[in-house]
Amino acid sequence: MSRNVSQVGESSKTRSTSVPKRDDDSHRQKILVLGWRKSGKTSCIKTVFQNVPAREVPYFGVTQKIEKINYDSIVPLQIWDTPSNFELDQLEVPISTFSTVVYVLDMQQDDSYHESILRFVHLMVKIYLLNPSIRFHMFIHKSEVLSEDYRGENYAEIQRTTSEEIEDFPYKSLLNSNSTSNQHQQQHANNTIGDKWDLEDQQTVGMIINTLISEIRYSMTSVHDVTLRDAWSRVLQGGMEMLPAVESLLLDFTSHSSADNSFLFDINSGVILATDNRHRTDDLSEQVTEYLSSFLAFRDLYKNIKKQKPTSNGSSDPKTEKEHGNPNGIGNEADPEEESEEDNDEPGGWWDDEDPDAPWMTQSTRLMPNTTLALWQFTPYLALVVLLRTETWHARRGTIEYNLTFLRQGVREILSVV
Amino acid sequence: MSSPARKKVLLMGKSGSGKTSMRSVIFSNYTARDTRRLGATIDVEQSAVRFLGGLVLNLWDCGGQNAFVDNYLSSQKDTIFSNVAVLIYVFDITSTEWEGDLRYFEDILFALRENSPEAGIWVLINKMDLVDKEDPKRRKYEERKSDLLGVDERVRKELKDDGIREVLRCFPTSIWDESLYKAWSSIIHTLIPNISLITAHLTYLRDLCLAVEAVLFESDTFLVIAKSGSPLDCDPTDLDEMEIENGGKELDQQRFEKISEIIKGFKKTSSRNHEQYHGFEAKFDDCTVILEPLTKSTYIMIISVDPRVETGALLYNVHQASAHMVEFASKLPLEQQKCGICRHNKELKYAVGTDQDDSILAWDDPRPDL
Repeated sequence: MSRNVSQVGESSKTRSTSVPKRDDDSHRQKILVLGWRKSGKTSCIKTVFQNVPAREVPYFGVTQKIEKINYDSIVPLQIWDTPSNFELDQLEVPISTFSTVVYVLDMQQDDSYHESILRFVHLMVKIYLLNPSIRFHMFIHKSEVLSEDYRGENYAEIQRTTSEEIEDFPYKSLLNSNSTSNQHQQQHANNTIGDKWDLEDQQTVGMIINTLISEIRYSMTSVHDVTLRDAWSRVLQGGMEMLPAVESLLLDFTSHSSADNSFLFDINSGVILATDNRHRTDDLSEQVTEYLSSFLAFRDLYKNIKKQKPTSNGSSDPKTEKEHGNPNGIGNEADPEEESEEDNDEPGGWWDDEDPDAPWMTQSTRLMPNTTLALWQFTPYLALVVLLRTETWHARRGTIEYNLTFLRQGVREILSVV
Repeated sequence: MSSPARKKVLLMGKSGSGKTSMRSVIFSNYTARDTRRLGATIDVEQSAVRFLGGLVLNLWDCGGQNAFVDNYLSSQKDTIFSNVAVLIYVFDITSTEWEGDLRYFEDILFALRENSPEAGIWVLINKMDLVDKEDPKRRKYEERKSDLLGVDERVRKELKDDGIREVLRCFPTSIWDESLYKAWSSIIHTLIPNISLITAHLTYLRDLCLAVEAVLFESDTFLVIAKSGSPLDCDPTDLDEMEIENGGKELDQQRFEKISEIIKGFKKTSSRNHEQYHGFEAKFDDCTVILEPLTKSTYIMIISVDPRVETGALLYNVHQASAHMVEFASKLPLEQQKCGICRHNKELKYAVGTDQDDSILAWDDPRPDL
């Protein structure tokens, strides 16, 4: 994880720009996770970003205070897990420093989800008025407990209720309701709202309602399948400024390589960071997400074995080992010097950090009738998964891997600029 | 050793202990969550599962309600308990009527030991997932296990055991993790004819490939059948030379069960997109791996940490080996013994002439219920 960050640091240093230190949190995008008691906030975070197996979820305790979880990815994150009695004035930092709010709602609790929605709308309106650029996501969680039909009905019902509550919200009350609370901060916050927004004005209120209703991204999630990762993927993509650039690179690569789809993954969390966005379906992203996690689970079983030292023959000869260092996938990558000769003017680039012998992993899986899934690691934290026809794979593997080196450089260059 | 093609496997235990759930997870591609849909088994549900072409498992899933059990022990005694190859008895670790459970178990054990003295007995203590958090050292399991061994000993003494009756074997299981595959692999492993021959060939292939291990899986259940070199569940101190040289000591003891679980999960995802898993190759860290079909009913996994080995070389070797490995699984007796390993194997007479009953579905036949 640190590699990614330090790399950003090093390459920017050559451009003599100031770089935030790693122990400083200001460069991290902050995500605030809210929700009703036992709605699954902690599970949503831990199962994805801390690789806690789903079967341990029932044993998580109740979150007592705000917990901050740092996660280094293409964009460094700080996820704030909150206790259920959370109020906005408990935040030590202004809400304007947050990029995203994720509200977790327990889908199976029919009796309490209306209250939960009310609370969400209340928090949302306040947060929005203080920080209009913030993004809202609602995870409609624990979908696994409901049957297929009931699930869809509930999902639609929750969205409808939320929209209704946003319309019915007493906006004017925000201007004078702080008599109950004597917290200085709250007062201050409400004053700011009063300064910024004319909540007496019908048109302003109408505009707020329309924006809020259209801003919320709903996702149905469950810790037992990939829907949770998909939902996080939408959250992360929302915060990636470089997303369009990466996407167009992927699209370019995919079409030039006659592949069907490409997906750029954050390896540790298994969250999709970018895709080429062609014919993408939920089934497809589910399949590739599961593919990646299956392979990583498999790799975990064997990654520790290596040849023991005293070998009888010359197999540990450093030269052969070096060759092995370049698995077929990124063999071409051995030419970083050539590359830098061309741009001699530049004192250094990301490829200076490149270890051409680093054994990046590569994998391909054949599926009948004729699909091949192939994977290449890009950085210690990023991997590309490509979906293509098996005959294309057999006929053009060389071309694809050649194209891949450029895609890889491109993606890494974009990362080093950010 | 004669190898009858059909093996009768009894699946017994109290109602609700999870017999049908495990059968569905292992043989019908259910996920652990799907088993919630299953209802109680009424009387005996028979099913046949073809394994490796030659071996057919006749699974008798016996409903566990007391009324049925009383029936098995009285009027149906001969039908149920004769010619049994294996009894799999399932307990629920959370059961509050342990004494009663034990009494029924003792009766069944007695009936079985009497009617099928050579039957292997496997006790699976199920639903371990429900108690593991409170009891991480598994004291309760150990207690139950020693109770069971006590019962077994008593029964054998009473029957004047002449040594043909094997001691029962006990496994902790949960349908939510790989422990279920572990238990079932061990059971299946004892039922496969010519297992030593298969192992010998795998070891030869592994050495040829400069690999750490070559492992054979059944293609539908993905249960591990055999592995090269040291025995499947041997202690890390008993590894053979090739395994030690390649760092086999570092390996997870439960890896095969975990692989079964991983691959089955992925197969299920693929099938939702109307695709079938058909093998993979990979390079990561120091490893070069392939997991490819070997015969119609088996997959082989070869792992090498030798830097000279490429996946292509492994694939070529597997391709060459498959023609000979197919012969083990075929129903025909091996007549032309071209292979050196086979020629020097004394127990070789792989003859399975009796399997001609068409009414029994094979694994690869389309199933009406799925």
